[in-house]
Formats: sequence, C-alpha cells, structure tokens
Amino acid sequence: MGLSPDEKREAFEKEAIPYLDTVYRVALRLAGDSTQADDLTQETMLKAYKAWHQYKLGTNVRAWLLTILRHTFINEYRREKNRGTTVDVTEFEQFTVFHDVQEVDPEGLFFDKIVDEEVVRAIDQLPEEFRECLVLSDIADLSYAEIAAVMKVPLGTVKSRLFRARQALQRVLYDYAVEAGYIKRSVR
Amino acid sequence: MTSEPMQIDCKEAAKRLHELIDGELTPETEETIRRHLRDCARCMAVYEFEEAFCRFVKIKAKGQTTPGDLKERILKELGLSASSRNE
Repeated sequence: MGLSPDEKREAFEKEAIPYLDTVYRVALRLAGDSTQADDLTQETMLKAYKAWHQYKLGTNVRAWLLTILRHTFINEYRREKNRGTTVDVTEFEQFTVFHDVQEVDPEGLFFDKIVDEEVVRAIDQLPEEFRECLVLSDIADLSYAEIAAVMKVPLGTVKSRLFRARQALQRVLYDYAVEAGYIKRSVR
Repeated sequence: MTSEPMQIDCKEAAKRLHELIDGELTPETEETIRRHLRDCARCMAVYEFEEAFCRFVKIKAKGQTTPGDLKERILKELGLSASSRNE
C-alpha cells in the first residue's frame, strides 16, 4: 500500500533525515572536496526520497542511504581520479605502530595531539577501496556485513581492507606526529 | 563430557584484534581471544593501543556536520523545511 505525499514526507523526515550528517561526512571523504560533497549529499537525499517506496521500513536506512550515495559517487562523481598522493597500504600490512612506540608511549597518547583536519587529510590519502571501507566503518558505524553489502565485496575482503587501512592510517599519523614533534621516533 | 576451551597463540590473537574491537566476533571466539589477552601482557598492551587508536579515529573523523545552508536547501527541496511547508 502506497503512502500519501504527507505520510511519505513524514516517514522520510523521521527515518532518513537523522542520517544527513553521516551521509555528508561519508560524501566528504569519498569526493575529497566540499563542493562535490555538497552536490553528492543533496543528490543522494533526493534520490532516496524519490525511491522511498523501495525502502523497507524497519530495515537499516543508514546502509540503504549509503548504498545510494556510493552508487551515485561511482557513476557520476568518480571521473576525477586524480586526488594527489595515496599511501601504499600493502607496505604496512602487518606492522602496528605499537612496536615503535611501546617504550615511550604504549598507550598512544600522542594521537590525541593530532587535530581533526590532519586525521581527515590522512584518511584522504588512502587508496579508494581502503578509504571507503574505513569510512563506512569508522565514520558511518556500519558492521562488516553491512559494509560488504554496500560495497558488494566478500566479508573477508572487508576485514582485510579495514585492517590494512587502519594500519596505514596509523603509520601516516605516526609519521606526522614525529614531524610535528609530538613524539620522538624510536630506533627499531 | 565438556570440551577443552579453544586455545590460540599471539599471532592468531593479533589477527583478530580489530574484529574484537569492532564487536564482530562470536561470543565463543571473543571469549577465547579475551582469555588469551588476560594471560598475555604483551598482546593486551597491543590490544589497548589498537582500541585507543580506533576510538581516536572515530572521534576525529566525525568532526564535520552538514553545513546549515546545504541542510536548508535539501529540506526545502524535499518540502520538509518549516518555510516551505508554510508556502
């Protein structure tokens, strides 16, 4: 049974609008600049509204919105491939920064000195498929199964990409903290 | 007859730490990893470091909110803003 226009607006306002900030944050990290993120966010929400009859009430609206966002990004925004330097995630696969800092800062307190802008800059340096995984997990709070469904990849791929993305991010932020003088580089 | 609890080594525990932090393990596997962490100070230290890092990233990366003008534009487009409802 279809909803009346008023019921549709009311349902969308109640179910989807609370996730607008999540959609915007993910859009920012996927698109890499605020102008595109604005357009991507707006387009995602308008598409979701038009397709609201396809959403099953009570299921995960956040994952549904992010699936629309990702689809829109891939089809209409990803043409701009050149986002500057990306880090090589394979290089960091097995090495937690803990081994470098265990003598001087085993709790990783130096991370707290790093400002938000530097953290998002480091996230933006991750290769796209790793960045997506990290953003869907750590910004959008999706479970591994939800990320696998949104990205259409196996669960094992999500686990491995997320782990490697975090290790790479940790290494980039550690290097930044050393440069900024927040912690001394240890000699291993 | 009760079966012996599953045992794991440090390498296996290290591989599962992020799944533990993210709440993605079955209760049995979670208990196995936690038992190992209770017995192994070094793995516990790595776990605490990784958990602190993940918490840090989640907080820092969620700093931005939707700009007010963008939110207003979207709500208006959808007929949800107070001003558009009154039109």
